[in-house]
Amino acid sequence: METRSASRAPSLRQAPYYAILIVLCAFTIGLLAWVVLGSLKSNIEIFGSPWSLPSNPIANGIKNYSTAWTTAHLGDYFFNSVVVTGASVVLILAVAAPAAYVLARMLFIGRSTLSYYLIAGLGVPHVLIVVPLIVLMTDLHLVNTLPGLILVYSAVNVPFAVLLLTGFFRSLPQELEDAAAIDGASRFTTFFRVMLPIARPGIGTAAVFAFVEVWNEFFLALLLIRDGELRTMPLGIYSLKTAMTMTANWAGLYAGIVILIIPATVIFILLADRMMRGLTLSAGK
Amino acid sequence: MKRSRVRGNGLLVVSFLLPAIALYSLFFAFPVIRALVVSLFDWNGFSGDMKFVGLANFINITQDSLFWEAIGRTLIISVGGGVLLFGLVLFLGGVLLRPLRFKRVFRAILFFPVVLPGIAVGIIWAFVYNYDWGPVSGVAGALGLEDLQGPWLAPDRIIPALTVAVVWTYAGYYLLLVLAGIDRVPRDLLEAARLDGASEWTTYRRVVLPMVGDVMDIALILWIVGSLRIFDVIAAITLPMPSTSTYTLSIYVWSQTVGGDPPVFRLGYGTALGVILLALAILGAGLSRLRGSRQRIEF
Repeated sequence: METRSASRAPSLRQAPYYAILIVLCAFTIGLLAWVVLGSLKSNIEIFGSPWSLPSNPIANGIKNYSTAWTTAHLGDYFFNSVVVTGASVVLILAVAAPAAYVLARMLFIGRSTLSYYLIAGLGVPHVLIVVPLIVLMTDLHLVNTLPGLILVYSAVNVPFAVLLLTGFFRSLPQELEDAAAIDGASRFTTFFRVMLPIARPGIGTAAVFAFVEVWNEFFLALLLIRDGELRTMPLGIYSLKTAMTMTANWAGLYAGIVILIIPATVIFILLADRMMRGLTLSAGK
Repeated sequence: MKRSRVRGNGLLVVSFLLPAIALYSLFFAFPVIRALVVSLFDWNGFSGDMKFVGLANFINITQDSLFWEAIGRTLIISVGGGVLLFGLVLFLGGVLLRPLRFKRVFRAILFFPVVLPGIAVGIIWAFVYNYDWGPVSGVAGALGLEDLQGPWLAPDRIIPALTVAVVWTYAGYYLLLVLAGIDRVPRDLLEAARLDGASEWTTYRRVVLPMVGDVMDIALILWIVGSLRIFDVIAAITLPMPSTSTYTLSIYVWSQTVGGDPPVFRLGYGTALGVILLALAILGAGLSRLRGSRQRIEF
């Protein structure tokens, strides 16, 4: 699509556009680098020389991260978050994948109504259900428990997972199912033996999104979790922030933020392409 | 698909759908319906004291100055932030249509902030806006712009300040959606426009953008629904005791129901506020559909 005259001197003509993109990207990278550097400074340095590199990164880094991990209990919260996120992602996929398969590949009465019903949750602000949810969870004795949080996280993430996976299953070729049917396979067998294996990329994408969503979730955890030892990472950072505002240990808070964002960042670095392609898929429907 | 095969698979349909429907209904859809009911009651949390008041909560809301102020702040984020965000996204969409190298890297870095937790975004931007050692104050101070030094997190400025943070977080996500639409525009159309002597920007405005209307609809709906409910980014800074002059609608719901310090437990009233938030989301989504159908008729 490039014309001859432009390809000869492309860099100069496009220079302003490179400049814009580089400035925007540099801002994001700079912001994160600044937080990471802050986590390696002493409190005095954060106030006194916010722009310089950390003078003693190893000693201050160890101090800040061990304060955050041990004294502020982020280690425990990290573990809680791993449990909650792991269980939620598994549950979300376990219920959403079969549902999406049926909604995408089979005809039955009420199919579009059910699709709309399951996806409608995307439009509901979670603050709306504060009162009924706390009543329900209290009645079920699930308030202030990690299993309760897992169930709620799974339920509120069904809509996006169903949307994404329905789009994915719809994009798979019909021939495979037909071939399996001719071979005498039941639909159950077809789903587990034929469709699930080829749907692995789509399910992986849904898993990544569910992971990020659940790992980051703050509001419902704030609503449902009371005990300190049941806090998830976002709740832990919030309480750390509340405490650190008083103790003015900003360096420790910087370290906590870094710990909080590491898992999603690592996943992003490894799977950015898949996430971006997955979004494109859900938007195309 | 043959009908006979489908009829024989009723069991499959039911058993595959049931877990999702049960989980979603019990912990999400059912509470939504309960919320609609609760909004018609006056209730302080003790089961005996639940009193049906009809639409009284909604009538009182219309006379609640905190509510109107909260709506105003919510709209600063949704409308003001939306203009900023979509302006940026449409501009970057045109930039990324050009024959540039490293496009995938640029796109990925711009997309990255969306994986950050709202609570982290809020705290990071609290650092950014910090009067003593934040970069905004530093740069403004160096340029002698004392007015822009802050304090940006003072109650009267925090919502516009955080709107910038919200735009930073989500711009890459919406850029990606719009780029997905742009990718589907046939390349020969662009080539034809170029041969006719149209500049890159004219091609983008006149040829490409009109063809991504459907993706823009989805993006707009997602933004409206998503931006109205923003909570974490603001809560990260203002909770546990938000000043009433920083309330958005979602924070107001929280502080009227169970989130106050100490909680005020105006459960019916707070839930009615939540119903209005839902209504705004539905209204906003409906409006952007309207825009979409008009556009589709034009082309």
